[in-house]
Amino acid sequence: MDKAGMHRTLNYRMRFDIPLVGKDCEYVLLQDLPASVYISTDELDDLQRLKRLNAIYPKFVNIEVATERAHPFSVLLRGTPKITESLALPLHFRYHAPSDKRSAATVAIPLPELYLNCPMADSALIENELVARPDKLYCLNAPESRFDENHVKDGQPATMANLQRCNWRRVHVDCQLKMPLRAEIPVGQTSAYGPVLCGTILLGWSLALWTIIHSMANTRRINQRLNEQRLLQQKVK
Amino acid sequence: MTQTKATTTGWQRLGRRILYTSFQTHLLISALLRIGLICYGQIHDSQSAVPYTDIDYKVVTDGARQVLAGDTPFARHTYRYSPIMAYLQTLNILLHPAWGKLLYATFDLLIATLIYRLVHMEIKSQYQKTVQHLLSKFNRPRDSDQSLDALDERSHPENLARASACFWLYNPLTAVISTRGSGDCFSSFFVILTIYLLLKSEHNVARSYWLIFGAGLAHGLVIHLRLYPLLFSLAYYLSLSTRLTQTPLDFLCQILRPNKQQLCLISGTLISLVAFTWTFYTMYGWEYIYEAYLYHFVRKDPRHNFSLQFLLQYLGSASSVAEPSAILKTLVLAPQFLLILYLSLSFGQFRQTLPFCIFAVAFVIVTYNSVVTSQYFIWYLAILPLCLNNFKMLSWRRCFGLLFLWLLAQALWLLPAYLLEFHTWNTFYWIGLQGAVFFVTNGYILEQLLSHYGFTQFKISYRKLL
Repeated sequence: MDKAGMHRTLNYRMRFDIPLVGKDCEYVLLQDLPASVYISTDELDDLQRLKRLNAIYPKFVNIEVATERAHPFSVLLRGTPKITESLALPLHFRYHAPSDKRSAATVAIPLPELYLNCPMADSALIENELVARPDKLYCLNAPESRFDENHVKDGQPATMANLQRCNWRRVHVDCQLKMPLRAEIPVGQTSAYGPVLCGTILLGWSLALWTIIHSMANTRRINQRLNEQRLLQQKVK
Repeated sequence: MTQTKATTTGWQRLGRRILYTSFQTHLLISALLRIGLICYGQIHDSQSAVPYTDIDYKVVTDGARQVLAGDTPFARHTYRYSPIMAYLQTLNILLHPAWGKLLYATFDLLIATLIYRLVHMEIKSQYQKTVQHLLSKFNRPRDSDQSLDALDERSHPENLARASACFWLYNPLTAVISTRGSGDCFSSFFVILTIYLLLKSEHNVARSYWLIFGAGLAHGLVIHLRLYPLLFSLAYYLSLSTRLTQTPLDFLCQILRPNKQQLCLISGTLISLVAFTWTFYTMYGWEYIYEAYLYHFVRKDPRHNFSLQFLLQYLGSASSVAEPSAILKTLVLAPQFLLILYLSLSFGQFRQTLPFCIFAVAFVIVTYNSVVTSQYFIWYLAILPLCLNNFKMLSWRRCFGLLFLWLLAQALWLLPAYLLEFHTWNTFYWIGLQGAVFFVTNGYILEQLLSHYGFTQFKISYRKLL
């Protein structure tokens, strides 16, 4: 992640073992984002259009609310395993409500989770020791941009689409962070509210009154002259 | 030495050539310039992750997509405009994505045409009134059809009107804003159209009621499009009065006993505003009323912006801070309304000073607004060319000084904003301070413009006149 700023990019450098590369497998990197972070769906739409990103994210993320009223969500970055690949996810930090206890809020971004989906024939490619929960398969829930555990219910049709959608395995990732996934977001002091309120009122009134007092002489003169003109015209008519 | 002299002569020749180029040629050059910018935007957006196109353009285009699908444009999140904007941009989907930009750029040129015609009409009228006034002092009354022979070349209506229009046409800010797809020039066009029709009604007595009614229709439409022109209403109303309001009682009488012209304005405004609002309410229901109107009243944006009230809003967003009482809220808002009332009474009572009045009111609305971004500057920049001729009492040096101050105050604000946004420095108080500096700078600029305003700045040749 970039070192500073309210607008940063999460950069991922993915490396896969050779047996997975070039096969028909697919991966999804699930990045949970806390409430203090938002994405601009318009920005990600543009990146998808430019083919710089292949991702699943919520249709609507409220970018206007502060952290305290926002909710966490996830972004799914999709791809096919390659020996090395770079991904970039632009994200933005929300303002935090002012406080008297701190001057900065620490926002920690969790590590991503990796899910793999290989066709039935190639599923042996995913070694068992690599899989986090060998007994579990996950379904890709694209509308909610998350994974759900696959609970097979009686009577549920075993369509090909369903099988493919629910053939995801969560695998272990060896994460090497270049820097901690933490950001210090500045926070204002609540105690300053009173003085700021007084200052705002005082300044607003002072400037308005000063403007009126200083310009009054000219406005009177102009109105007098215009009135003279008007009276003259009425006389001419 | 000879070379310097030759260069100076070259510049002078170029300046003269620009001055004498016809208005139509300027329009053509500006149109080509805007088409060039639109093409550049298309190429830029296809290659860069940082788009040239305004985010609101995409929002409105998405709204248009919803309309074409038979849905409400408000189904697109953050769509908070009149549905008219979505209708206008439906051809973005049916024809070409740049259609809306082309349309807004056309309105940009239409604004310039209105500026040209309005300034031309006003200068001519002011000149005739001045001459009449002057001649009456020499006891030589003449009819109102004086020729413009007594005017020096620089004060000639044609030249001043062309210069005012060029001020708009070649303003890089306005050209970029419209070609990025911002609809602000669309609403600004109707603000200027309202002023134009009101001023024209003074010169066209036979059709004056219809012109004023038309001005009312345009005013109602623009209130429907953007709420802020509602605050111009008092000035429009007072400009149609037949006598000077000097006391509070006069003012009360003006309000309670409108004349025929004022009734025309009120009825035009109400018909248009109610018709648009009712139509869209029946189509889209309460969601339309909330998103297009009410949201702007309840909006609280604690993110950094130029406003004096930014820091107050940010600090007030803490859950531990109690909601301010109605008295405190009034104390914060009252200076803006006091100034609007003062300006409407001072400059709104005569149609000669109406363009400047609307400019000054727009300037106050933006300066005192709870949220101020660069895009809001277009609200007054669109009206500024209408009153350029009225600032002749300000020297060029002072004009550039004021412009420099305005830009400097913005640059000083940008520094802490940059440090907060891109370095996560805790600069909330610094931004608040710079917001206050920008506010005071704007106040000073307004005071200078008010104090140096003059409505009859002509160099008249007495020999030719008498």
